[in-house]
Amino acid sequence: MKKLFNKLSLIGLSTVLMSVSAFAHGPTPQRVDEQITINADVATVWQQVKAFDQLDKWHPAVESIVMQDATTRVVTLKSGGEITDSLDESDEERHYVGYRLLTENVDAMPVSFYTISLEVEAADDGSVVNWSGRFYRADTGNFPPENLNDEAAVKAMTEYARSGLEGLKASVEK
Amino acid sequence: MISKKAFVFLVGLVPAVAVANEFYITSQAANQLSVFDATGTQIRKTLDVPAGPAMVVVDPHGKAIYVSHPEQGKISVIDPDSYELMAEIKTGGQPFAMVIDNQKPQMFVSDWFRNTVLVVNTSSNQLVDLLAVGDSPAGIAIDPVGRQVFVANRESNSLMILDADTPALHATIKTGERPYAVAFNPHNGHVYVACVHDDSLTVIDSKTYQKIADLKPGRAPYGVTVSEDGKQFYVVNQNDNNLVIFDAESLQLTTTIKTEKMPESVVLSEDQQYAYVTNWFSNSLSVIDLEKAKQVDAIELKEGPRNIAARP
Repeated sequence: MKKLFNKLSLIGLSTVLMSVSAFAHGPTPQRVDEQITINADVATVWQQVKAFDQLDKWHPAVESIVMQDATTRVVTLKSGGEITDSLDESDEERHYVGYRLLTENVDAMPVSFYTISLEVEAADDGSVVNWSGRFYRADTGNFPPENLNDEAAVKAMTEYARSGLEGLKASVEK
Repeated sequence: MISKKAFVFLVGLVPAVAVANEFYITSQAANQLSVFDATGTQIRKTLDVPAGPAMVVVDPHGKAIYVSHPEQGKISVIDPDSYELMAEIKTGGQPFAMVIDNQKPQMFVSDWFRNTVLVVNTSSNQLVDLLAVGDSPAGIAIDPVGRQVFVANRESNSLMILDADTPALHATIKTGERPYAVAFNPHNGHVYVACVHDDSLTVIDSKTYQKIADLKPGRAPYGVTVSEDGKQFYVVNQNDNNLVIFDAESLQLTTTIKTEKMPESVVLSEDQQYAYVTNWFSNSLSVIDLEKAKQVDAIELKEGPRNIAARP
């Protein structure tokens, strides 16, 4: 059945309701790309990295983890608030784990979406862990307030990666 | 606009590489557009463009390059001969994916923020209509002969089929979760919709408006394109770092080729021997030899490469 389109006049533009979408693509995607060298072999580091349900054992910003199902974790942050991650891939051979934000909480983490991967590689003096990801700012409109803009998202995601990697290093090397 | 005299002068300067085998790549974070010369497999030139260039399309007659700037609410129009900015189309909203009608001077643009498809007259560079669609429209494609436009509503998990001539909606078809990229195969009338969230690709018949298949291309499929003969289609998977090839008739995945990190979009060379893939995280362009089924070159790009389009 054909339905007539709802035509909007140009004059009516200003009355079009604005909505903030959870999954952006208009705004510029932002990146996080952090590394750390750990004085332990790949297998030892991988044991910690692959435990998707035990992030709270080594990430200093994480208070606790509750698994909703085998691949969904609710992360409670020490700063308050919960974010929910969904595991995409855990590759034993590559020592690679990938996950994405399932339920956003811009008060806890000022991003609207992310995909993150952690990969452990052998290095001269042990292992290198790469924490990399792609994400969008919390307010994906064209006039985001300062606390929800690109800079706020990059700062939060970089600090989260940095403190996570340092926590992982401390936990493995202790 | 560049004068005829100046044009002849420019062509005289660069006789061998003036038109053929040229591609344009947006680097969203660097605010640049790179001109890729596929004959010499090198970046010929990198142009400064207004902030946040996301998607790029080229006029079918090769007369203009259109670049969307969602965060600026505008589309820039660039001369492919002089590489100069010819005009800016102020659309408002967040114009994202664009598709040009080769039968009429018009372009359809998804505006995910206003949940509309914008209709732009490409002769006057004026916004002439806004069509209400589903939530957060992303990828868009056209069947210029059958006069239909296909738009993926990312937040509504649907594909809408619009009339290319009148503001009419023909059908709304359910897709996988978070449909993003769309491609039309004129040889069999199929529409391919890559769904980034549930890692699926929905195949839809544009004549019967029925879903034909749900395929599994890989994790976070972001870009899709169809070979010129319509026998294959190509999908890049952002979370698998690969390009996969499907047979368009059997709908079987036939080939998997490794790319660099977080591939975003894919196009084929004019002779269909190569695939070019922009890798968002690696800031590179993969040159993939399709016969050898492997990456043969990786060319450095400016930060945040998203989209690539060929000059016809």
